[in-house]
Amino acid sequence: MAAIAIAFGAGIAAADCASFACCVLLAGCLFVLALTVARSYQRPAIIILISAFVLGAARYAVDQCVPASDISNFARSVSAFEGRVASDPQVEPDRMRFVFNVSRIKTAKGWRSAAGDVMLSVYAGDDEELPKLSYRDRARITASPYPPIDPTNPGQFSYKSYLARRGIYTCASVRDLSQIKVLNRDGWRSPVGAALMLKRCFVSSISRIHPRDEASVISGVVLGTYSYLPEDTLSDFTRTGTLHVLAASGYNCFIMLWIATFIFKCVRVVPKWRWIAALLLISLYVMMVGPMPSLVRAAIMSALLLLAAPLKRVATYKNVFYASGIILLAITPSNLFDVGFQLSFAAVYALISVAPILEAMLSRTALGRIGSNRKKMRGNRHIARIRAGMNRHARELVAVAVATTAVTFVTGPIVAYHFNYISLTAMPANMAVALLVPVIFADGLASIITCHLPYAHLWMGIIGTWSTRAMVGAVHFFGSMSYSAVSVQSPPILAIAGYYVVLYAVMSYLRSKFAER
Amino acid sequence: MITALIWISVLATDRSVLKVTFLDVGDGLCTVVRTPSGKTMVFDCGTSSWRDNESIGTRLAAPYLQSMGIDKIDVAVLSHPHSDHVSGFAGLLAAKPAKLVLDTGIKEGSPEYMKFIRAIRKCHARYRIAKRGQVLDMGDGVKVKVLDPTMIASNSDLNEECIVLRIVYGQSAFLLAADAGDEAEHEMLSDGIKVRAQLLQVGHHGSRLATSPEWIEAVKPDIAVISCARNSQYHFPSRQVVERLEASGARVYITGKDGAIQATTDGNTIWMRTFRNSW
Repeated sequence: MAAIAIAFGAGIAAADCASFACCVLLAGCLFVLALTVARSYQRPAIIILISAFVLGAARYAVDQCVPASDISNFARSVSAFEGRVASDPQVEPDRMRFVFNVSRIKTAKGWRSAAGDVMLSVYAGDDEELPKLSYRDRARITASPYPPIDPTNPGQFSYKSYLARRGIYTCASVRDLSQIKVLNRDGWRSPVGAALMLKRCFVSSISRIHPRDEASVISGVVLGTYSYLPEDTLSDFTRTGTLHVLAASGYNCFIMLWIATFIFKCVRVVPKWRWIAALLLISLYVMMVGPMPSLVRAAIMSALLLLAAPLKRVATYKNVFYASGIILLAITPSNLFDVGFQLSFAAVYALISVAPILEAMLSRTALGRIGSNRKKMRGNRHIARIRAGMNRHARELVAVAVATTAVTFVTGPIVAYHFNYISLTAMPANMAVALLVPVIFADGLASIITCHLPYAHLWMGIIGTWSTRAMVGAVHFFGSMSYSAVSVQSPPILAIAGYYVVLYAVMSYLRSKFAER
Repeated sequence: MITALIWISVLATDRSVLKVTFLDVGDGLCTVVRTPSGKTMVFDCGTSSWRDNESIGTRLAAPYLQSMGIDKIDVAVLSHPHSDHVSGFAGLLAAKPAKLVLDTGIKEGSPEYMKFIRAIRKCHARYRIAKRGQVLDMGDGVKVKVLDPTMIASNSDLNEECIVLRIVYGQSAFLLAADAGDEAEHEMLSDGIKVRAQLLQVGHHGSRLATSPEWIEAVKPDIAVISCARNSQYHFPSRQVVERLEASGARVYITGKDGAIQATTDGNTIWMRTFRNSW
């Protein structure tokens, strides 16, 4: 499965560098070479890999085709357009921004049907209030769309490329609110609209029982968004390599499923219905948070793992991991170039492939024996219990340290390439926050109920606030150190490829060495 | 073996070059100099074209320095305290502290300049007033010479008192004229200062009040760089100045038209790169 996933990804990467015809030509050459050089028993595998390569290239080529009816093809002649709000509007004090899915456009020849998405920015004047628009609301916008502008400076974020990866090739801005006419509001009737309403309920519930700064962090942990965070706090999370805590990912899915399983057991849900309930819960969470690559990857992996038992299949983490990669890339091939996708897959690869090897290495040292004292405890029963608890926490901390080291090794070059820094405090910072995240996540999730309960909201508010303060304090402590992060120049792609080849070789050697013993 | 070849190709990259980048900041100036020894000099950081002129330091200059893996600025130079040259400096120094700051020493009470002074104090940078004749050794044979001003003046035209630098590396010389006008040019020429340079950052954004024929004749630039907006609110650059430069045989680059402009030299040859539509 790993080889097929890599071949599929290589096909997408090749189609990005060269035309589809060139990719097919390259695949043809490889095919001929394989038939000539490879042994007969190797040929079927090679043919499968070449097919995966061609499929990846074809999928990317199809994805890059802009339909003839896309609004970007008429951008210059459009004076107004109609459609629906296609994303949860991001609201800032003086403006809001959202994706608008177009169904009709007005040109000099009158109204005609069209398709495609527009990134719409709405600006409010000093005394004006932003319009209350929600997901799926139907509206008419009187504005001329324009293509996004290319960056003209080195090191500048390319908004054009970012939008293109989401299939958006046109922008529009509205500075006079009379340019927007809401035609109907039925967003809440769709499942995504209802999920987004639930998301707003979560944000307001969290804000009701926590102070503003802490509420922004808790909302970030629960809903995987940075938009509520103060800039300094965000900078500290970035410098300490703990930003993943605020990104919706597998960790959120894991904690949610863990809490859900606990509740299902308490209310005695029949096991065969538990996986259906868990799947529905994950789907709801994805709709609420949005289709971020890291979350979709986690959702696909969770779904495959949950479906394995009822379908009477054996699911291994590695196969599920690579299968989720293929599924995600088949849905949106341009995700391959998304930093969230790259970091998410690199981190999970580190956890399932590199961390076990490091653990095996560590188990032979004194550090690896921390918390593994299995001698019978003598004396007072309470002291023995405390010692057992301390041992368990020590083992958890060692596991977090190993996982963080593995993730830092594997994601390091990607972070350096996209963000130009290497965090030197990632390990202690992650160890400090790792045990607090489940508490904050559970507190945030429960706030939607507890904020209505007389005394519970006080207690939950205190627990959430103090846990968040402890986490932010730890992150700030490590983030404000002079050398918490070192700036580096973006390494060349070839150097990154070389790094991973060396890493893979070293890990393969270590795996074989420890397997022998 | 493949890995070894990849690493050799990466490590064998020639790093003995001097890079001067004129960022596209609209009507303003922000020049970043990166020496072969890895030292960084920022010459001005300001604009008057942005909705929030102060954010140019944090949103444009700092990300560029970050993309090059730069944590600290070795030398920050403020040519003169006009808003289009200083507005982003405070933000930039907050993100990327400087070790040494060169200034004209002219006390200007504008809020942007005051923020710049506060930012210098906050990052504990050494503060020096630039005077003609000073030479900064940036390592590996890169010398930065201050050509102007000669003394601190408080009440005259700030443009005529701005810092003018000549960066020399091997056979290549770059002249950064900031907003120096006809008067400053005449003064430097009459004092017999060596101004010859292969690359000239054209004074005062290509205004007709700078870059006199005598100045062009003395500098003899092969390349001229004008920093101004695409649709400049001040109608920069002057067509007269551009024609004058082209007539002298210089290739003219305009940040508003070409995007950021990067000049790279090994001490002999200068390679130019522009960033509009290069993504």
